[in-house]
Amino acid sequence: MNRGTIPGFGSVRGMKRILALTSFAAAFGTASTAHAELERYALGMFHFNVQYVAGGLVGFPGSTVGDVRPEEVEDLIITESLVPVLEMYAAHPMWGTNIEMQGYLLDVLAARHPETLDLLRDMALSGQIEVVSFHYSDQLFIAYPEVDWERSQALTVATFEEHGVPLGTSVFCQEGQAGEGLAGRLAERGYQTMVWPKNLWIFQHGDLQAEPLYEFGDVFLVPGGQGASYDDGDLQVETTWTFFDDGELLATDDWNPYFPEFFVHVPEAVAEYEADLQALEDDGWIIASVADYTEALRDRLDMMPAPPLFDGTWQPSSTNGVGKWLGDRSIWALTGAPHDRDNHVRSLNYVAHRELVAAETAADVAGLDAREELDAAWRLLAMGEVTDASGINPYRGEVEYGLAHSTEVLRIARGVIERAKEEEGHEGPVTIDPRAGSMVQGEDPPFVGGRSSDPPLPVDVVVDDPARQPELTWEELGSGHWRGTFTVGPGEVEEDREMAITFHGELVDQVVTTRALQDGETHTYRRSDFMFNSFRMALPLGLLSLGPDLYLIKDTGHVHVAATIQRESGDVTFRDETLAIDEGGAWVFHLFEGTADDALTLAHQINSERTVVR
Amino acid sequence: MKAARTLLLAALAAAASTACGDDVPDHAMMGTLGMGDEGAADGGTTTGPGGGGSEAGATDTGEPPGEVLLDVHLDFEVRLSIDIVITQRDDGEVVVGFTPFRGFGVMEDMTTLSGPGRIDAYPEIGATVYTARIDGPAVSGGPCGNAPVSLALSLHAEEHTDYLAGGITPYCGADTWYGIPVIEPLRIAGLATPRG
Repeated sequence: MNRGTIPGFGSVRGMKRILALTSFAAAFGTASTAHAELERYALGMFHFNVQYVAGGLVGFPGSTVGDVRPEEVEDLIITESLVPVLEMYAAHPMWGTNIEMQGYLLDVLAARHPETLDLLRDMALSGQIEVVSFHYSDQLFIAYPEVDWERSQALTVATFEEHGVPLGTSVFCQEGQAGEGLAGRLAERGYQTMVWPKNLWIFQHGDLQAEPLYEFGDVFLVPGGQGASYDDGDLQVETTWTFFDDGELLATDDWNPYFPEFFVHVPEAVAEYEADLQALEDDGWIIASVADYTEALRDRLDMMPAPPLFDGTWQPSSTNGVGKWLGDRSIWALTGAPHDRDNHVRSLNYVAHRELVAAETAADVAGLDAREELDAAWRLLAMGEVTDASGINPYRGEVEYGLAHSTEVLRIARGVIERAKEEEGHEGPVTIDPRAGSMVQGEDPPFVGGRSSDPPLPVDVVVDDPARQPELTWEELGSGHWRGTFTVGPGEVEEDREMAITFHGELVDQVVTTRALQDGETHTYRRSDFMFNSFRMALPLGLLSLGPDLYLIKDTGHVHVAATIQRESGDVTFRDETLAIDEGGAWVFHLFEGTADDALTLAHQINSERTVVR
Repeated sequence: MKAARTLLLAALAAAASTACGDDVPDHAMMGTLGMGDEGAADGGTTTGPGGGGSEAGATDTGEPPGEVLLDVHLDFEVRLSIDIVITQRDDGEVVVGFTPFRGFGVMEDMTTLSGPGRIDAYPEIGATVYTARIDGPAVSGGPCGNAPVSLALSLHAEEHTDYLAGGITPYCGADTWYGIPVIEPLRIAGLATPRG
């Protein structure tokens, strides 16, 4: 464990606050056992998302207030929900808490709500509010290559610096996204504590009797939303959470921005919460931020490491893990069929990523100064990867928000590539290989020249609507390397939307894949370490084992829906319930026999660093 | 409708491959015609000429001479509409024109703008992306104030579907084609419906 001083959010201020509060608590009779002082902490995590309705409520089914443009929804989120929470805490300077937001929210404050930005900044500088941010846009970062998040997080850091707001050292993410691979990224960037959503833990391991803090690589982990207790004879700790939810909901009495006529500040709701906090404080609880909490306890607890944990989101039971964002039909039933286009949105996001990577390569080869426009495109990609372009209840405007941002990324990136070609004197097609860092004249596309072949394991497809006329073909591209293409045509029955493909892999304990934000290595999980029956995986590089030395790689430019693994079976299933009735589709998968390292290299070649002809 | 769309795209492909000569591969437009995935990626992907914005200032409001490659009526900002016409001039230039039902302060309502465009193939995924860089005038009362508006169009099409999706991304200032859009990209989507 890294026990040294971790720079960042004002630990000195935080410790002073904790010391003051513990002294106060002791003076007024904080409970204690005969042998140990009892410290009681009340934590809060207000998850604010200014992209709650990405792209605004335009043409929203059932709206009674007409169109609400994107900036109007953003403004409502700030005035009706963020400001009341900040003002309530401002009235109690000794209460700490966490406000989580995407970096973009700070830009919105600076542009249109400078007084709120001033208030937030003051409260962050005083150490009262820990402003938490791990991504510029509320993007589904666990489903994409690490570099997409890297660019987004770097922009977040720059945004916080630009607006003079200290960036918190705790991490909580949109939709509670979490993964073990984040530990290394936290440590590298000065973050200190991962707030891991309790339900994502419980879904994998069953009931949780939580400790106050866990080791998480070289940083710490707090089970978010889960009370904890600790007693080693010298120190007794109790932890509770007073809020762990969408921040928008507290001040509006649980109405969310999809319903702007009801999404209004309800002072009584805030007052009720304030009274609850006051009662806790009166009872000796320290109302603290996660940073202050971690700082107060990190060197005083005997900590155990967190157990093995798969990547995921915070409500896996109700969203089928990441399934709702990657293939599962959404819950809208207001007027007609849902508008989801999960595979379209997520695969086009990925294609935009690939084009940006190719453009970066082309610019480097040509010595082109395209930094500003490429950075602008990375920003747009982060916006386009917003979770709500698919998910629980995306309406059409949000789906098209994701698509429109991605196509603009493609336009910018292609423009850079064309300029790079011109700079290098290439008039015809070129082949750009990001892994080799090359752009050469001519056409040398990868993965061509296959011959028809059977796959090395049984594969089944299920398509509800027979009118779609599914077809699955296989070809062998080389020794131990197959490619399968699963095509369907337009359907006829609106309700029969599902299409699925199952690879009947060998049941072994090990599951080899890659973890989010850790693209440089594979990781081996053991099914026997978990309690779930099945689990959905985003597969940011498309890679998943099907048995010893056999790997599946989905081509994410064609198919980017979740993989379902089983605890008691080697089967892996990909399912899409969001293909429009009047459209066809094509999914492409690769199968590879070989080592995990070679499979990882191939996954990069197929997906994150694709060689393209332009 | 589907048959009409297929015929439209077939004409598009034929026109692009014929008119562009060596600059456009035989299958440059086949991404929307069932070209297949990377297994068929045996040709270049260079676009139709006129791209890169070399004539970004050459906007006009009339129908340019040449062959109409795409003439569609799509949804705009979900519940409105936009007409888009992509034409290949006799000299090979691709010209894109669009007429939005509403301009959202970055264009005039119901006014046609046009400018140079590109048609780019993505053979590894069987897709085509239409783009254009169109110089728009300043719009009174709009978010760019007295500055002209650079309007970037991008529209994605893929095989196996007649669905098109993309947007118009507005940037303040003349000849400004990246940065932070002055408003969010204006969304375009829908099944490609030939205007009738």
